[in-house]
Amino acid sequence: MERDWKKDTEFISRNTVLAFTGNALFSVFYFVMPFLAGEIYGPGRLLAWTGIYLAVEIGFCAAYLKLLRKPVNRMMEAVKRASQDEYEAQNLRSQAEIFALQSQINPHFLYNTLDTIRSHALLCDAEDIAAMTESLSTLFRYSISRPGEMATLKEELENVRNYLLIQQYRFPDKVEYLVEGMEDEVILHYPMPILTIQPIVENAIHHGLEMKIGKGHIKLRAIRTEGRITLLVSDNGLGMSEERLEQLRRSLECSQAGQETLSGAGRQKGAGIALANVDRRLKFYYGRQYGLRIRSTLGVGTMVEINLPFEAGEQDEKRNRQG
Amino acid sequence: MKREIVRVEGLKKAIHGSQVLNGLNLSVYEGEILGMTGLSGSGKSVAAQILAGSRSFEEGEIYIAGRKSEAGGKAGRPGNGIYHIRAVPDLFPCLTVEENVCLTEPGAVAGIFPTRMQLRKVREAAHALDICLDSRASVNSLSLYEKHQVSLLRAYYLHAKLIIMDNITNDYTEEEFCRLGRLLLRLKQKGVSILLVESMTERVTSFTDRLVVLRNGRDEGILFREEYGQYDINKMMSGDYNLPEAVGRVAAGREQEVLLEACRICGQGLQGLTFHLNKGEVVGFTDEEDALCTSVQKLFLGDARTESGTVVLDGEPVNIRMKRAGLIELGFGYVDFYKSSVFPQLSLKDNLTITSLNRLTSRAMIHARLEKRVAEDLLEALNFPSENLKRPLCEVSNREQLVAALYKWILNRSKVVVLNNVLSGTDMIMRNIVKQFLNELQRRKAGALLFSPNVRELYELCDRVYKVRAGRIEEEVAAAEWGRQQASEFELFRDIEL
Repeated sequence: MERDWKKDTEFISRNTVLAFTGNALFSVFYFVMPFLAGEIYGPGRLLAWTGIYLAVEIGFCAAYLKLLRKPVNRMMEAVKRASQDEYEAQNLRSQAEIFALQSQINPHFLYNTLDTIRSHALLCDAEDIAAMTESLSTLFRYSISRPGEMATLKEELENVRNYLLIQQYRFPDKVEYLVEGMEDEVILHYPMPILTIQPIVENAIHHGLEMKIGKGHIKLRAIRTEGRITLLVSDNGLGMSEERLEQLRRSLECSQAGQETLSGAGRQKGAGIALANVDRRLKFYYGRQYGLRIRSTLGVGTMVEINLPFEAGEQDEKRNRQG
Repeated sequence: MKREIVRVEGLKKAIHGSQVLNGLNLSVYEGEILGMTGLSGSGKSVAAQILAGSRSFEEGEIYIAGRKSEAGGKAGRPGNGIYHIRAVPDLFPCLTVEENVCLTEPGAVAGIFPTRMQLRKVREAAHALDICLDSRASVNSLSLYEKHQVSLLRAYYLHAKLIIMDNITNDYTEEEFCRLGRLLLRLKQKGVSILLVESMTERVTSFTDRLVVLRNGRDEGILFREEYGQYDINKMMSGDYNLPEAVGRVAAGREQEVLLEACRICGQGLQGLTFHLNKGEVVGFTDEEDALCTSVQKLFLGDARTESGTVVLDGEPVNIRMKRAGLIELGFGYVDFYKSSVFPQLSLKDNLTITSLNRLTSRAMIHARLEKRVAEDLLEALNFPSENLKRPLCEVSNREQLVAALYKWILNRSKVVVLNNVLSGTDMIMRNIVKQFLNELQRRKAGALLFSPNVRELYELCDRVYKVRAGRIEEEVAAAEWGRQQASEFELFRDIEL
């Protein structure tokens, strides 16, 4: 999008310069040359000469405006969208500030309490409770103490593991977690908005695997190309009906346009809100061509595709700086 | 890191007012074999045509090697490395293999006469892909698989980045399909990407790395090789639509009356062919040297020039030198590829009427009421919408076209229906329709003769199979038993390793 906008600006400025220069040269030659040659004499002749000049100029202006109509329209669209994005950004920022204010007191109290529970559990030899409490504490620290920050994929995966550890205690031997294609260090150190993956995994468990009879799995796979990183989170849970899927897709499109998302049933169940939020954040950070894509079949499972931009040079530079 | 050869985002296309593609997303990576499957009408072929540049698209974005194609235009351009291979190969039949390969080379100055340099390169390319074809042979003399080999060789010779294969294996034998698999794996090793568009799930899962399942013009499922499962793929294809229970062929009883009997038929490739077809039975024919048993087929198509022998249908002798029209009057029916077995510009009603003209007319007048009632009854029995009765068949779904191609012979009360590669280009629901049709024939004490290059189909649909060799029956086997023997052999094709 930004590239298109730059192209349009270049196009307009280049053509404007060309048009003005050409026009000025034309005017000079049109009047000066015949004047010197003695072609323009008397008021009638001058009037006719000027009339032809004005007709040519009007034609030229019309052609020039027609040429610029498309890029100018596109630029106006881009400006409109940018101001809308800015408005959304402001909203998100104020929300984040409210969250930060709310969590100034609560988190410390929460962490201390969880640590106390963990100590008591260890004293009573309840190792399960201790491990669970530790996971919960780490999970809260990660999600509450860093609002609006970026995290690496490695940190995101660690957070998912903590979340799943707690779920293991809730539903023993219910969910198997598989990770593939994460050997690539570049992918592991890729920065992304915090809490991108965990809400999707949570959705997969809550809506897909919790009600499923027997054991299910959640698989996370990463694919890196020259221009993007694609993360695929798939489960073999209940999946969703075509109607529900369409509703969810519409909610993602609406969230992009900043409208209210889910209607009645969907909102009550809370389904899709998390996905719409993640999608909205990703689109806000990276642009409309990135974000989530959902595929699902009733009785087979669901796959959420997370599309993120990737620029090899930029990533290498960052890694070198870190190194 | 993978290199993306093609990326498709939100592709939309409507044809005749119906949305064929409705937001398709797709990525093809360098050196991968990507399968694409879906039910008939799910948009596979249209997507392939758009990628190849032979159709325009209305919405969405297509990036070919990073270059964006605008909506409203065509994606593929000559020289962008995308080659489209169709079931009917676009080769010049009168030219040789090497001429066909060199002909479309950009910047070729020698016209249709390849230079020595070009010939050397063609030979090198063929050697690299392990293609053993006589490069001076005329394309006309080649089998369908060999023609596809030439198309693949040409694509490789012209430095293809992506080869799209659009439902080309419908008429392949299992052996040919296996050979194609090896060839594609060789191309993959050379860094060429393949998009294999295929409606037979057992084939599309054989040697693809990844599978995209289309439903209603969208990519509703992406599976990686280790995740392939027949049930999941079928469910992804059908979505909320409840799959009809797979219709099993009801085996015909052993003590049936004989319906059709051929005795010691000689001439035109036949050397004493003797067989029988019982009432309510489906019998298949297979020949190792000629997969479609054309010599036996010709006998019932009215094309055979026989020297001796007799054919008896339901106790009445049949003149086997008769033309097809005469044989239809005697009680034969014919179904080939379903699309070519109907009149596409005519409605279902008219198609049924033409076949059963004798039964629906009296004193050269058509019984309009009877005609309508017959067609409506059929649609009701098969659960198809009656508003499609008067629409041209080319505008209704492929399933309804198949129904028209098959059931017109039931209405004609044909005694023996000759089915020639009838499952070609069908999806799982359409295969069920064929099985239902065969069961209906059995219920009516009629019979069917089945010819197919795909042996798997033969044992699935037939009660008995005759193995033909050198124009005579070599062996007669019960299909179920034979299928069990063959099953282990088919499994070998699943994991083709170089």
